[in-house]
Amino acid sequence: MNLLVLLGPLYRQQAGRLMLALMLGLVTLFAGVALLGISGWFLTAAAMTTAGLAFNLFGPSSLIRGLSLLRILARYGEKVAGHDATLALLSTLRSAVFTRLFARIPLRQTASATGAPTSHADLMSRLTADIDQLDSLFVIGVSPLVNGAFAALLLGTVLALALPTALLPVLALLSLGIFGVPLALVLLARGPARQVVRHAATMRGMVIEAVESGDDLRAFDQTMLAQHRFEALNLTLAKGRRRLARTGAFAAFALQALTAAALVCVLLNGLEALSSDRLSGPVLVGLLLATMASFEAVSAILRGVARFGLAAASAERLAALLETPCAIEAEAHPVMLPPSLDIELIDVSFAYAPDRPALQALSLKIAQGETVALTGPSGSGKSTLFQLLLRLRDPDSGTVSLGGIDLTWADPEEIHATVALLEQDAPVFMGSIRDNLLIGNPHAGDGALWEMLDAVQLSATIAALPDRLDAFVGETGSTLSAGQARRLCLARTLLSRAEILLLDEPTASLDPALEEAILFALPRLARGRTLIVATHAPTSRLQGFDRHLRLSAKGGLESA
Amino acid sequence: MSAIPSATERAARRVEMRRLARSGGFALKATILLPLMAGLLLVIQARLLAGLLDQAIAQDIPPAALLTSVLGLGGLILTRAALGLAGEHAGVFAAERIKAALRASLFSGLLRNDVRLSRQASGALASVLVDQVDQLDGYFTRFLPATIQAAMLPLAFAVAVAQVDLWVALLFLLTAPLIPIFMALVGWGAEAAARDQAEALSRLSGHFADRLRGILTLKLFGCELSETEAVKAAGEDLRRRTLRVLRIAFLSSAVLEFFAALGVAGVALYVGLGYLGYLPGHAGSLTLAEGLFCLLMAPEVYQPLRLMAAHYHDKKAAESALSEIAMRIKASGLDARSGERMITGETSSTLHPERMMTREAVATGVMDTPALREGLADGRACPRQDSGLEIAAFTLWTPDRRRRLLQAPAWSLKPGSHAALLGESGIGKTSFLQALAGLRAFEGELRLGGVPVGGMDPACLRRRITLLNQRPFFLPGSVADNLRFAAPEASEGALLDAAEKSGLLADLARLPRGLDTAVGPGGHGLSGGQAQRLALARVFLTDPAVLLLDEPTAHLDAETERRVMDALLAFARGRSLLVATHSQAVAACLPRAWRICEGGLWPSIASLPLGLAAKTETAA
Repeated sequence: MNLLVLLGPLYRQQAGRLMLALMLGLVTLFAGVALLGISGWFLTAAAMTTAGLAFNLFGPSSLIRGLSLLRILARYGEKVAGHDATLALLSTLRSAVFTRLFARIPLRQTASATGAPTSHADLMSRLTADIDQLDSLFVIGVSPLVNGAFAALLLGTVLALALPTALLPVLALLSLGIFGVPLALVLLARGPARQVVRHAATMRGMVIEAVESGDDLRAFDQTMLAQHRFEALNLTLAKGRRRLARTGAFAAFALQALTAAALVCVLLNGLEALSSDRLSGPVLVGLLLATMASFEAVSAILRGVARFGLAAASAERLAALLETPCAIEAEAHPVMLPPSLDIELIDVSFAYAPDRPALQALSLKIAQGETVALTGPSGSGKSTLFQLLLRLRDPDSGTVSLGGIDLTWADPEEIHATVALLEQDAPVFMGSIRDNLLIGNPHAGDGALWEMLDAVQLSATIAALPDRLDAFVGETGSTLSAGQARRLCLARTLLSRAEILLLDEPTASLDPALEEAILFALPRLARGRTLIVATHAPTSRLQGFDRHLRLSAKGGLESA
Repeated sequence: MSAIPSATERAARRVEMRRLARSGGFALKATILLPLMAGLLLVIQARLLAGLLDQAIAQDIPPAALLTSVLGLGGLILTRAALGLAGEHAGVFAAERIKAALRASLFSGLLRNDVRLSRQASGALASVLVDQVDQLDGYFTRFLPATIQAAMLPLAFAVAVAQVDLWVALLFLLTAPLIPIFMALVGWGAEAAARDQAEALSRLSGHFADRLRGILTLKLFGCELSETEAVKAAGEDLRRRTLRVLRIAFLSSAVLEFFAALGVAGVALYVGLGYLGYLPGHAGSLTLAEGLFCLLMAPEVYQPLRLMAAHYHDKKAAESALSEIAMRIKASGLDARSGERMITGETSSTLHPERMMTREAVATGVMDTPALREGLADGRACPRQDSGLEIAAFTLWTPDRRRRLLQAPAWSLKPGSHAALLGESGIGKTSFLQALAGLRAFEGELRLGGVPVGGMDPACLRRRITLLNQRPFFLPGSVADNLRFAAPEASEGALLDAAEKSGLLADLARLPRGLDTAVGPGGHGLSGGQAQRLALARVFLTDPAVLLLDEPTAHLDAETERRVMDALLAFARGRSLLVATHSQAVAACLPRAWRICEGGLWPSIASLPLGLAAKTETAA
């Protein structure tokens, strides 16, 4: 059902193109069945005719030629139109999924058992592979089904006129072929298909993991461990795919058995009718050939149906992802943030899990424009505090407020515009240096960009690159070292027009000289904005800050 | 890349396909033979049906007498279906075997190659291994059998029809061979377009992965609209490319439809007109059975060709996938030749990557790669436990060999000596440590206890040198499993002892399940500090001669850092120790320090005033 919910509205958007493809498909089918039927009838009639000159030759022969041409053109048109519609559909689906995902960020983190996203690899695999799995669902899934039904209707009409005795059994066999076999296939394939999609996702995660942590595997001589784990999964995946394919093969076999039965049925009834002169020889031959042609239309259904299972499993996963609730609930009638933006936390506690407390009864006040260095042992809740200030999470108890407004009353978008965060694992995006910086502030001019790069001591490096600001940086910042990537992200955050800057370990992976220089420059770069820097740097480097706060291991405030 | 693949490129691909096919074994042969038999039975089926109709219509034989023929016909169709079923089973079996072998060999290549892949678009690589490899199965299950059928069945059918009427047979023989020619013409265009599309798909996947990785950042910076638009644009681009492929691909199937229709219509008209006496000669003398047989065979002559055309995109998809795999492997910085080797589908159990690449490394003589040289020397010298490291005429390059990271004429880490390795971020400290551990290619000499590392038994090398990486590997399992990663045999006591030294024990004490606490893939469920402490604990479980630590106290607060350093120094007593670090506190614990600066390795005083160390930023 998720499949329908997901694709239904998108199908409606492309209704015109889809209908065109369907109509052309029906024309193709009609021409094909008629071509064979009429050829058989014509040939037999000609053989039976003793007086050649009396036979109306012109009609059948031009019909045969015309139907051939019609079939060719209609088939081509059908394919192009159908695929065009599908691809347009998929393109819309991709961005629709992206839009809906955006609205749900931050996603509520739950255990993987519930099917909610757990890791980046999983997320990535879901979006790209699952959407691709919905590829050509219309062309090879929906359209043949409609065609099959039409073929049944067509043959039923002809049989009703020419050979009523065979009508019921043949229609029964046909509908079994059109609906029964595919339905059985969908039901039987569902389990294996879901497994295959899941195993493939696990495998993707495994590859990413092996790529990113390969050094460690080699250093501990444990590549065989990873290899064994991979090969075990590899075999499981192959087994699953085999099972899936076998289901499809059996369905094809069932369909051919039904063809045989229908053919035998038409033959027996037809021969009977022929001997009692209820049916002429040419019509019998025409009927037989038409029956065979319509079953060919049915066999196309299976090709698509085999994919239904995979598509349904993907749709289910996509839907689950899109239904993952947002971690916070936005206020329907938000209160505007005031111009003065003092930060205040009152008795705030937060735990990731009952056994993983992060903050405990924390109260603090930071005035607008203050520059604060936030230190404390790892795990003392510095990053958590930042998440609460951005309302990426809500505290379990206590209140977080900006300018006296409880964050839960405010508009999340306004909070995001007011508070900028440099995450611990802030990403460098695929694109140019400029693209990356403009994410922080799309209106910044090149002058401002260079000025900021200078401030984070990156301008010399960038200026030395062949394309300077237009230099391409890859997925994990391929042309940049970890320290350079870090500073690029820092520059991006500093460029932001937010009034409050939260920097989570801005100098991680920098050498001490750079760390000292940047920590020294930061209060000045804040230019009167509120600045909170979480850092492990020694106190001696934090002299430029107005205040120094220290969180204790228990997630409370220590006097510093 | 040229739009139309060169002859050599196509030949190379054919060779690759044949190599892959070899791992399909007997099943692949059955995949080809079974449908062929089903096709030949078709001739008998058509003859039976035509004869049956002739008897009933032209000879007025009563239905009761024809019952056996009718049932025989049904039986024949069922038999053919059963043959098809068996063929499909065999095909799937063969294809999955081939793919599994290819995946295993690609994965082992990823694992064993010492090229830094961490910077490669990891999502794209994962897609290569999972999705691109899956693209191969249509080739083996559908296209390959269809090709053989297309080559043999039309000919066989024409011979069968020739027994009845030479002209009809000639019509078949003349039209059928034209089809592959037309298809080849159309196919060239389709191929170039298909490759284009495969690239777009891979790029799209990379773009998605990239944007998803940072979706929170994008949301916080209010980039929802622009990024959604960008995703839409990338999707539209893919749509345009795909449609271009399909338009051409469909053209080839239209050519086939044309000939098939021509065949059916031609036979119907030829035989019909013959019956009516319009055509002089043979056709007039055909019986109804013979005429119907010709008509029944007419669509079947073209059916194998249509089948092949229908599966032609399977071939294209497989070939594009192969190029994409080869390209990605190359783009990842793996040696082009080993990349090719990797896509030959040999299983890891039958192939020894080290040995295989060693031959190449030796043959080319360009790279001196200790990790690769190991294979030549099984069970050779194993240096003593009190060994140091020495390098001579040593040069280290970036993986793409564009930039020289470090050049050192001679340097050593004396047995039992301890030192810090300093230098700006991005200067090459990590690369140097990895090279010293024998995990990364370099030029020059590297000796452990006087023995060239390349001549050592690889297992011994791994035992003697422990490297703590910045990106630890976590397997899904318990904390204990993750600790035993470093020492599979370690007792629980040893694990707890190591946890105590690394400061992990305090974390474990707070977790209800202690050592049995589950760790997700990628260390999910651990905080940055906990992950680092777990990685550190692994170090204490090893017993190396040389200890190389890359930023051991990253993510740790000052107090934990001090405790961990004390434990590490105690552990390193009697061993050689080199610690890459940014932390002054860590450097101060060590008696001497080396600094990587301006492509060289210089002695340094650990407590050198920081301002003097590196004032300006060098192009890193």
